[in-house]
Amino acid sequence: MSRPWRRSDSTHGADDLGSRVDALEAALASGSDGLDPDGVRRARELTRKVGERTRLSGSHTVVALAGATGSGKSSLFNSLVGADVARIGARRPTTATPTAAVWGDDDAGPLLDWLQVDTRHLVGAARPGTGLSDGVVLLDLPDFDSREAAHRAEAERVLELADVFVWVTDPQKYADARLHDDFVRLLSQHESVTLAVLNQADRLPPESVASCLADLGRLLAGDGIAHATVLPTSVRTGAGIEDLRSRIAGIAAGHAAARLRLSADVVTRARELRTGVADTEAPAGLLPRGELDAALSRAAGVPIVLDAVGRDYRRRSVASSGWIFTRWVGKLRPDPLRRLRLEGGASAGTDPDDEIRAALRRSSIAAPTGPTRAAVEVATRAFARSASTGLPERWALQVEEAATARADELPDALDQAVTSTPLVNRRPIWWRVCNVLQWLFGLTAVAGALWLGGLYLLGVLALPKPETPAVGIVPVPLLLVVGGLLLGMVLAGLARWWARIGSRRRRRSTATRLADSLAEVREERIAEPVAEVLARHRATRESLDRAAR
Amino acid sequence: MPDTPGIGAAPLLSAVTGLRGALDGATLPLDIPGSGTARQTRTRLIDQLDDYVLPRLRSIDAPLLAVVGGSTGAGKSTLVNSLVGREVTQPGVLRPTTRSPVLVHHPDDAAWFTDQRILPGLARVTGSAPSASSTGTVQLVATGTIGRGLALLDAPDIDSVVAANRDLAAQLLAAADLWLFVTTAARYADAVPWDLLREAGERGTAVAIVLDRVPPEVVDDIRQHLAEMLREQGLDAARIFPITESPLTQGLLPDEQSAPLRIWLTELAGDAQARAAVVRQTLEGALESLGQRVAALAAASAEQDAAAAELVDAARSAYHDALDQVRDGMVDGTLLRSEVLARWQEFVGTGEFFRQIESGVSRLRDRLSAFFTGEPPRTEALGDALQTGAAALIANHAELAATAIARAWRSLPGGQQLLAVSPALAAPSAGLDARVERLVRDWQGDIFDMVREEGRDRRTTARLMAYGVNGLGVALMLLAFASTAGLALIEVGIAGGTAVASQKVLEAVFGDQAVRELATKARERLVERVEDVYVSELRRFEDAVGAAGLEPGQSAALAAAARTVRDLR
Repeated sequence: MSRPWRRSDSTHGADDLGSRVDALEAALASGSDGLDPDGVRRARELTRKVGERTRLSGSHTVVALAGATGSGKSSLFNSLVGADVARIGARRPTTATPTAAVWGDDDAGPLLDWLQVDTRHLVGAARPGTGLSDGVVLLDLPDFDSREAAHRAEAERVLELADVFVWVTDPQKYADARLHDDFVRLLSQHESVTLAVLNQADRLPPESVASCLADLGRLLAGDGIAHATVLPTSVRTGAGIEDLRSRIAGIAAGHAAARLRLSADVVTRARELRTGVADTEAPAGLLPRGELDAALSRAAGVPIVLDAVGRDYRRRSVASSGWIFTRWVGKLRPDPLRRLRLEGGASAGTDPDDEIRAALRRSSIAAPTGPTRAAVEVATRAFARSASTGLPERWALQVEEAATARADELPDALDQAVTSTPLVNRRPIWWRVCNVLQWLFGLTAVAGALWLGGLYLLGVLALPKPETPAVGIVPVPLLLVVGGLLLGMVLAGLARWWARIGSRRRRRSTATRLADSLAEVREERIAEPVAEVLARHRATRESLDRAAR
Repeated sequence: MPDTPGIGAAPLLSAVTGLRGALDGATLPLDIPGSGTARQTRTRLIDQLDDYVLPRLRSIDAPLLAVVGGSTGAGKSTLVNSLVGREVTQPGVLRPTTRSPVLVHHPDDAAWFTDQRILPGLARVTGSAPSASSTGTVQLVATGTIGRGLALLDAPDIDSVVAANRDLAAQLLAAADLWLFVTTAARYADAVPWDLLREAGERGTAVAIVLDRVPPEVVDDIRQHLAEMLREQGLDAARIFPITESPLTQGLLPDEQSAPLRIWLTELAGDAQARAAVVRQTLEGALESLGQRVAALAAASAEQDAAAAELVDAARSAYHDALDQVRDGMVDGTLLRSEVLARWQEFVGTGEFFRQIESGVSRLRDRLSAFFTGEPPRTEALGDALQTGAAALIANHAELAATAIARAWRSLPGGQQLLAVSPALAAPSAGLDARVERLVRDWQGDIFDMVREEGRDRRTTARLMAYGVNGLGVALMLLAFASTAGLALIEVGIAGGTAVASQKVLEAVFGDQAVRELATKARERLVERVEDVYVSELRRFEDAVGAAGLEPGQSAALAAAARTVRDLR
């Protein structure tokens, strides 16, 4: 798409229409969902208008004479043109359609077609002395305050497209609410392309003209045009007409008015949209996530997994360090991790097949429904609320939607996060040491028992008994049996105590790892979408500020 | 003075007073589409009744009040001065001019105007010092140049940038027996005055038009055009008094310009019958127009009721849904997942091996391990887990309901305003969590009572003692959260097994029929308690709607009052 307002050969250095329109378009792109739909529609229309106007003649300046019925717009128009072009009359309202007068030889046809002004008067090249310069397109508009609603609609349509506004009023009507509240106030950003004319000044006592002009200036200032140019004119006496001509010529000179008007339009629209965004937004990265994490962790079944991890540690530690004679009992119990189908966690990542298996695998931790899901939703909404504090309604809704949009995927994502977290660590060395010791103690006890058994057999068969070594009065075989059994039991007891501590430590480290995995899910599914909305809000605000600067 | 029956009669006066009371009560507190216009209609109606209809009904023979109204710059003040013959109100070139209204009357009529009979909202100021005039006052000028029985009121403009002027002008015009509407050659086609004239036409108000500042050469043309326009609006009866543009003498119009109007007014003042006809026309018109406007207001009031009902409905259905969710959450076994499940397995014994063993053994084991480890008995851990789960279920759904209602209200007419008044509505009430926890604890008490009751009735006490009331109570809680009906379909997995196991335990003690009844009863108890809490949560929203000040039946009261007025007329 060609961007005609991006005009690098611009003869006016201060012309920033291009950057303003770009900023407005950027704001619309990033924030159209969060801004007032009517404002967005108007802003879109404006960008289209800017494109159309800048593509059309840049050498013409459209000057519109607008005002109430009976203020003398048409008479003033005829007087400025120097010929009776527009119809004037006593019956109100007189003018129903706009009339154009064009100075200069350049073809203004396409521009007038765009303006949809069909009554055209070609003045020709400006003669020296008439004051109005080449390129001026003067429009006589219908009134905007009569009973004919169509007149007002037509006036509004053409005013939307004109480059320079000349508000024509008179001593009777200069304080009308219609003029000030419905028109001047809405176009108050356009001060540089606005003139006010107090026509029919001859109807006032000469000494009152100045105070009347000052009063009109005060009213215009109230509308937002701080330093309005107010000219007294009289068609009947001809006073002030020349001054008005030269003012219009001054604004039209340099052909900057069109772009100034459009710039002011962009500023107006941007300010209007700016009310739909807040001045700041919550820092997405610094929002408290504790409550959310707690709810997610419950939903993911982390307490169950941690219990299972702790029990698994103790079970396996008993399996390798428990008393050799009672170890088998533990084998009868189910593997707590296997029951949750989490046992393979340790090897994940080492085998390429594991990744596929991990992707297909679902743990048998019950999917979070009902209470846990409600808790997650409550925490998510609370997080969204904290993220949207101070934001306007539409943005707050978007934040909430972003936070909850992927709620349906959460159970699976949480489950994947838990199953892909390695849960089973390497076996601690002390298990192996204990194992060896337990075997040693067990074998010692068995050896002692065999020895005693042998001695008993010899006694039964009345065979001569070999000398049995003794420590003090206790025979060595008995010592071996009793010592082996006692030491084994004591070691098993110690190991159980140690395993309890180890299991607690294991629980903690696993909890940290699981929390990290869940934090990833939380960031990806909840926090990042929220941060994205906040970033869009920020971008929209900054673009609007740039457009309205 | 000739009088039509009905007009000025006491029953009509009391009927209109009744309507005035109904209007007073018909506040339109909710900001819904159309409420702005309706409120304006109400204010206008009240003003018109206070300023015109009621005073006029009370004193039908009071002087005729002609209000001089029109656009800014139309020359109202100059006209009034010219009619009186001296400067009573200050004209000027700066717009808008007349800032406080001036009432000109004959000295003999002073008694009618010095009290608050008409325009009770405005303070009376006498004397001619211009500094005395300010907004909220009406300046009284007594002069003999105006006929007895007629008063002129110079109103502010109807269309300038000063909104206070426009509102006051509308109020004063509503108080008029006769409108002297001043317009000019440049003004006579303006939209704003014609909106007012159309209203006057619809209401049957007596109107006379002064066409001021007409260039002499176009008088007939414009007068004809204006007459056509008046005919279109049904104001054919309105007289037009053209005044051509001419230099003022000492601030007054030349005598020959103001004479026709002055003569007409003097004749009107002198002719009691004509005066009464004007009064009657306007009063009839005002009473006539009441019906339609009150009907519009009654419709607006009904809309307010509907909007309020919609807001309450939204809140009700949200809590209704929440209760349904809680009910579903109870029966579909979801409460039995995770935490509860883990505790249950501890309770009945973890291993497949021990699961087969008589529960008495595991109970003994629990007791022993509790004795040695100092851990709480497993039943308590299980009970706590169940409690926490149920409490979370109930509290979370209450919170979701509150946020859902806040969301719904934001898009419903009037809801945004109520939320702005009490923003705390968007979150559940402050003590909710504690209340829900107490609720679940109380419910647990119910369960234990039920178990004890059941145990006493049957000869099962011995078996009951073997498990303990608490153990069976918890088993019953479990069963309540997993009805066998829903179970087969939804949760055949571990939770199902859990519930089946607890059902087995209970059936062993009480028998299967009793267990089913117990489980249903336990569920119903909980639902009842939750309903109580939700109803009290819902009441916050109902109160918020109620606090807006909508009285039920306002719409009907308005319609009835208007009907009474119509019937008596």
